[in-house]
Amino acid sequence: MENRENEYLVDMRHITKVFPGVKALDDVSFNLKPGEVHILMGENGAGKSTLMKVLAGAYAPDGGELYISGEKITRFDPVFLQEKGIGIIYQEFNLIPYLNVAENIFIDHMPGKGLLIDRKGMHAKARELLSDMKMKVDTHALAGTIPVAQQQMVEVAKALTHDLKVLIMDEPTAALSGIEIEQLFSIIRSLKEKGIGIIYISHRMQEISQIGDRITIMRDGQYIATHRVEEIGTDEIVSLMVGRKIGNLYQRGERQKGDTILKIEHLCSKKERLQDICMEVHRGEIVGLSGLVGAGRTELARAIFHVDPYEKGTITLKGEEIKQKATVREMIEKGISLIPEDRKRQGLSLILSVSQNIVMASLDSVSSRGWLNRHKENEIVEQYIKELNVSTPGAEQKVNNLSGGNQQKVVLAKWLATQAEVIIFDEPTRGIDVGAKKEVYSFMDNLAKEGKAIIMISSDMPEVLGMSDRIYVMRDRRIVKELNASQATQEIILSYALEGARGEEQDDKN
Amino acid sequence: MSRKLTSSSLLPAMSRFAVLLVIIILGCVIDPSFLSLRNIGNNLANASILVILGVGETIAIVTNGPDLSAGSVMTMGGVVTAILMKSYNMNFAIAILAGLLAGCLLGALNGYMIAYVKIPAFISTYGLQWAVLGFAYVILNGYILYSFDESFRFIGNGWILNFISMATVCMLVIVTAGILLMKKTTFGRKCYSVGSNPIQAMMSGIDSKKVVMKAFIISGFTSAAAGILYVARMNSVQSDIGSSYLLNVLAAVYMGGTSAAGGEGGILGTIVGALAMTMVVNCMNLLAVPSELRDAVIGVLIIGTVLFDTMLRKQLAKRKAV
Repeated sequence: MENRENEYLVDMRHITKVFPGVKALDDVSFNLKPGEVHILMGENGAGKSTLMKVLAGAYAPDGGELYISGEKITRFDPVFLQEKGIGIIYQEFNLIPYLNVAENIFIDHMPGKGLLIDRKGMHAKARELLSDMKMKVDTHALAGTIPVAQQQMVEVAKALTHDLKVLIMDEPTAALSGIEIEQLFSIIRSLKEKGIGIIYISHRMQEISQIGDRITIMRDGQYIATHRVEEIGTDEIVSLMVGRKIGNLYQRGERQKGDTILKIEHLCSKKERLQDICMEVHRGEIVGLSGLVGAGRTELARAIFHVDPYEKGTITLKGEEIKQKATVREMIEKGISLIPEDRKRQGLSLILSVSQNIVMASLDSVSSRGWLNRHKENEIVEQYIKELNVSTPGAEQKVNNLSGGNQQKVVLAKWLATQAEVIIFDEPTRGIDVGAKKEVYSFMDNLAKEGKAIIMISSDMPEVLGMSDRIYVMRDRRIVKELNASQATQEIILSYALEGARGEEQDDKN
Repeated sequence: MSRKLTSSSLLPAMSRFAVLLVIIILGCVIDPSFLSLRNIGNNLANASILVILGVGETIAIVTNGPDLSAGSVMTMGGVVTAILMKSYNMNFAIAILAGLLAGCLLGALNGYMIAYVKIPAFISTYGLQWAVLGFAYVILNGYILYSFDESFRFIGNGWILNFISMATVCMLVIVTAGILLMKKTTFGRKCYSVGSNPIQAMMSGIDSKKVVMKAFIISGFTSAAAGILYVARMNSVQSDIGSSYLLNVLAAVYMGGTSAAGGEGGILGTIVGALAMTMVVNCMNLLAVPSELRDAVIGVLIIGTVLFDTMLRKQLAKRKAV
């Protein structure tokens, strides 16, 4: 064991992590001092979460070294690193909804009394932990029934039951309101006083100066820079986060902008909290829908497609006002397609064949009076397999056996087979390789050239800039800006997508 | 490449046919007349009730989950038909229609509980199983009804050719309808869609509630049909006729390769499963296997078939990987 200076609680040096086809972390270094809040920033997919999963022992790095309090770590397993004092609160909560608060806090080491669990002692200890954090939570309440903010505190308390040295928080304020954020910050401050180091992943610019000591910026799996918070401004952070050039991956032919095909006016939804959405899409254009994860883009798409309900506002398609109560089936018949983000869960039936998947949303067009016309079905399936260049041994192959890129093409085929005129792509290139990406782009471009209207939801900035004619930026469940592709840059989009980055935008809000 | 594809997609069916073939060979060794037309006809007639039950059960499992009320609904179908004929002197055709209608209504009740009230199929159909069983007891009040019209009994026991019984004809009609429904109609396609991935089905504009509802109505229908056929064959009915059939039909369906997770499998496999079970019983009759041993043999058959299939799949996966 090497004995290094104990200045750093965590010292990650030249960490590399490779996933099949992707270098998720490329020579990344990162360190953390006792009692500091170190903010980690970067776009979606920059590698923040992967880096933290290495630190928490969920992934073993392929290269580089990790020291905790000067001790070199060679074993990467979550329990071992927990014993070394690393606590992590993931973005998705890991509480068990049907257990009560105390049971959740002591989930991995319930205090025993002989063979039985010492329930009284457990609740007493849980109450003590929570009151130290100045939290009033009933330890007998089921975790699933308490507010999100309290769930978060329970997560913190759970981490504190171990001998905690480092607490990693992945976007802890994403689901919290103003007062709750203040509460969380005061807990973070009290943890700092105890000498615990905090790694804080966030997209919210204003939080950096409120709670941070240092900030490290990552991009494309690489380390970019570390600064003291007071030394760096918002604009500089944004440009460090972006700073990437667009290759010629993107296809853009001569598109003819036609008449308005889809118009959304003042759409509001209770369930998904969409607020006063207004947008317009024309034939022959690709409209980018940009914003951070959680800004409400997918939710908007689902409301347009009538998967989720909306209470106020109108959707007009080809001049016809759509009823609020219309079903998904009716939306498909009227010519809208939604190609969902999560193809395995929402887009495909993996155990069914390529052929069955392709016609799944257009069964009416391959049947008459409920009887399938196999001849017609085969014709359509073969046509799309050829057109989209789907690489499969045959139409009867199970989709499960295809690569990610080819699965995505099957999803595209399924939604093109409905003869849609408005096609919403939700993260169309997530998790597929560059070759397949390029094919998807050229396909989208062709559709636009044919006069179809395309809405593209994407977290990939270069993709949004490279493909779109116009861009709507969403934040906090509303559209905050409409940009023409010619005037948009990554910096501009990101500054609208992030909170409080620009004065102008504050005005918009008021 | 196409050859490889056929072998992989037909494999589950093939491994089941292989098991059936082994049983038939075994039967021939025991008794050379095993493959006589008459004996084949007998086996088909004996398998008819199980096969008919299996058609609806397969559709329910492919779409959503097991219909554990199949046994009781079978009883109820038989009881309703029998009572209308015996106590109300109704024409047997009308009595049969009423019995089938009772099955459909009970199936609709299942479908409603599962699709609209969102009670898991396993629980709602299990609950209905007991409720219907109790109801059948009450209706019959402990009596056994027997000795029905000749014309009614012909459906169960009549032979139109040397080896084709009326029961086999009934079975063939329902099987053909079931296979056509699942393979050739949009409804069948929707069943596989909903069963394999309900979220995907919803996003594709498929109304999965309706599909689940229909699937369980069909299961209720075939269960009642099986019960009526039972009464016609046995010429008697009491309140527990369906009880032993539930586990047998589930065994036939799962042995036939239908996935408990839904979305995979089909009626053809179920038929093979039901025939295998029926023929094993035939073999045991020929060998005069004591009744205590018979359940054990059936158990070994079920596990053996699935084991054989799993091993074959593993082999194939290995060969693919090489």
